[in-house]
Amino acid sequence: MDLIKKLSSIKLSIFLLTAITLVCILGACLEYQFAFKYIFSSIFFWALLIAFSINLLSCSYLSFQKKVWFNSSFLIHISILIILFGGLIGKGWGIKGNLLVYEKEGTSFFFEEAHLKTFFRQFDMNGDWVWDKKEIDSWQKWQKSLSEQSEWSLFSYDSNKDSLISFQEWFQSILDAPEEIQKKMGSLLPFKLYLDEFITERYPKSPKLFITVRNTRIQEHLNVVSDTLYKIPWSSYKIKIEPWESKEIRTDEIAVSVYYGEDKKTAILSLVKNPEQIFFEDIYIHYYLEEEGQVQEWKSEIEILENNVIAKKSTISVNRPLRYKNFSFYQSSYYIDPIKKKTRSDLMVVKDHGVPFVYFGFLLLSLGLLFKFCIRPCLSSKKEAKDKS
Amino acid sequence: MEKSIFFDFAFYCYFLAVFLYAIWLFKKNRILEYICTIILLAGACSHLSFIVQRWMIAQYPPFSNTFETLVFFSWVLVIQYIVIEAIFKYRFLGTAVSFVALIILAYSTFFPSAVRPLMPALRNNFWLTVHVILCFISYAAFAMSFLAAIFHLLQKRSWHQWIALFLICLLLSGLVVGYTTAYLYNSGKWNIEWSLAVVVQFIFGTLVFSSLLWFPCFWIVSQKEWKTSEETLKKFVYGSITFGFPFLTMGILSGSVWANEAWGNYWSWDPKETWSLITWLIYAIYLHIRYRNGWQGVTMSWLSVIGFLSVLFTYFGVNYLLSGLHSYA
Repeated sequence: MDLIKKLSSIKLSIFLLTAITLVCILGACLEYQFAFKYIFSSIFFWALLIAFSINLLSCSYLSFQKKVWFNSSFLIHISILIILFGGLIGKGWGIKGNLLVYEKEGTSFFFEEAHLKTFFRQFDMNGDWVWDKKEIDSWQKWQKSLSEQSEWSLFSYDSNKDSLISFQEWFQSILDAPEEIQKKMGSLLPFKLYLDEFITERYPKSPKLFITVRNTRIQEHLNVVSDTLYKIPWSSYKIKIEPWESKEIRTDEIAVSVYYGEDKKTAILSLVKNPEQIFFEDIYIHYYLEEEGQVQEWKSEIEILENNVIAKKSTISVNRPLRYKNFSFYQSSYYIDPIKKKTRSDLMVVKDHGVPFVYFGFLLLSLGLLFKFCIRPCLSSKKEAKDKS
Repeated sequence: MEKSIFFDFAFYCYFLAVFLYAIWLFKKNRILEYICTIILLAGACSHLSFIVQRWMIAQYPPFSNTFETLVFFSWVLVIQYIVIEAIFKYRFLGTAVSFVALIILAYSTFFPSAVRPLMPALRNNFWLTVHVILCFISYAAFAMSFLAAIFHLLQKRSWHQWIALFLICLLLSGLVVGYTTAYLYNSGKWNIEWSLAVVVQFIFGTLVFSSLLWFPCFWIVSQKEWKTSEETLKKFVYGSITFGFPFLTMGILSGSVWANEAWGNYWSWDPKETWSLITWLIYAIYLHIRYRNGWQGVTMSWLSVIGFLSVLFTYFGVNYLLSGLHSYA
């Protein structure tokens, strides 16, 4: 009991919170990949988190013993433990990988970045990888162990290629590999994902004004909106787009006024002629139409095939993942392959049984904090006022 | 739509409120109290009109870029102060809050304010809206705890007063030096080749400027008339932190849910995430120390100051110095 009391001590909590804060500050100041690998995944940081969990657990146990378990502090401590438990499940038994699928093709193969990072320092799915000697050695060793079990040759490193390897070449060789090799290089889904179509939705092209001021670094792209006054930052200029006579969007000609102190000068700018206008010797205004509208949404039209039969059809887009048989698929990127002349959709594959625990912990933590710091003080102040009266 | 008449009106109201509240600090007057509140309230209403107008024109909640979040932060700060003033009748922070709101609004004008189409991750996003609103409610509460803590430290006749005053001078000098440099650089009047030596010179210049600013500021804070009871200040610092802490927690959690929906990862140790956790831990330490030791004095005020500096770094510093998923924020 004494040990539990010592472990639940608030002094220890303060010490552990301070230690975790300092480690986080150190990790946040370092380069992201380095910090993730050597700080946040280090045994030292895990030991701190375990010690903190023991501290919380002991504190909750004592509250339970004293039969004060239904209080907000107990709820807060338990919820943090549940979140850490959920995180542990995800870290230990979860799967996170990248599934790359070309249009009008299907695949069930995906690889884990963490696995590939054991070979490559630089990991760019759209470019070339630079190898150093250590990486080549580890790769060749790996390849040798694979080739002992199969006739298939994964990749041969050519020292005349300036130590560059195209990801496309490497990835295609894995897609063509037998299943047992694929299983060693990544993982296979129990079903197939077929990409019917990859769609890039764009906003309509809009007319813009490009403003520059001579002998300065001022460069502004402005939207063309009728009857709007813009102040050009770091200068004394103001620009007004004069009201259009009708409410219809006019993109061919606009009237622009430039203000400099009391001075005002107005000119008609034409989109068709696309000239560069000069006002007040220093300010340049260029009226143009965007070459293509900004990206609005990326969508992958997906079919899930089980035994070559369509089991589900769905669209994956950013913020709208597809969930199927405990797997979640997220739209992470895309790539237009210049050799295949096809679009490749890059999906993130996640299987994490810890998420429900984490979300439940989030809910409890929010309720506990709201009750402790917002509801309870209000109730007690009301009670105090009542007692006084 | 860029900045409208509502924005300008709110700006002028806050500007006026700074002076009126400052006069009230030295010469307490009932009529002046009402005038100050009415002017600040008028500014807040106009400010809200600007936010609503922008929301209607853009067709999305205006929390998706630095300009919009700064405008929202400034409004939440003013509204929280008005509510506190109405309920608890605390007016001592009027000048400071109006001044900070004014500075934030002025600072927001340096960022692109045009309504632009949203990138895919920010479109139709319920969790983004919840995340931003909750975070800024907490940031505003922590800003007020910081201001009250600074007030508390400035009232001490010891080194606490000198250092707190120097910190304020340093923040003000940073603003002036930063603005002047940005103006000279962007207007092409000064071609700066950035190097370590130049950065060191800038830091040295800012320190010298802060030291010079310290003396007149010291004379002002030495005046007795503006002082507020220590008990009130301590209560205010603790109250603001206990109000902001649940909102910060829920803000971080909602951001985590959003990250899981968008990227399949509820925590990735992205620099902004890590710094928000650091802020959360600092305030958790504050609450535990206060609970364990019952400390209420200058140590807690300093911890509150450190907490808010961490908020500032999470909001601004990470965007400029570190990169990650929040690079658009």
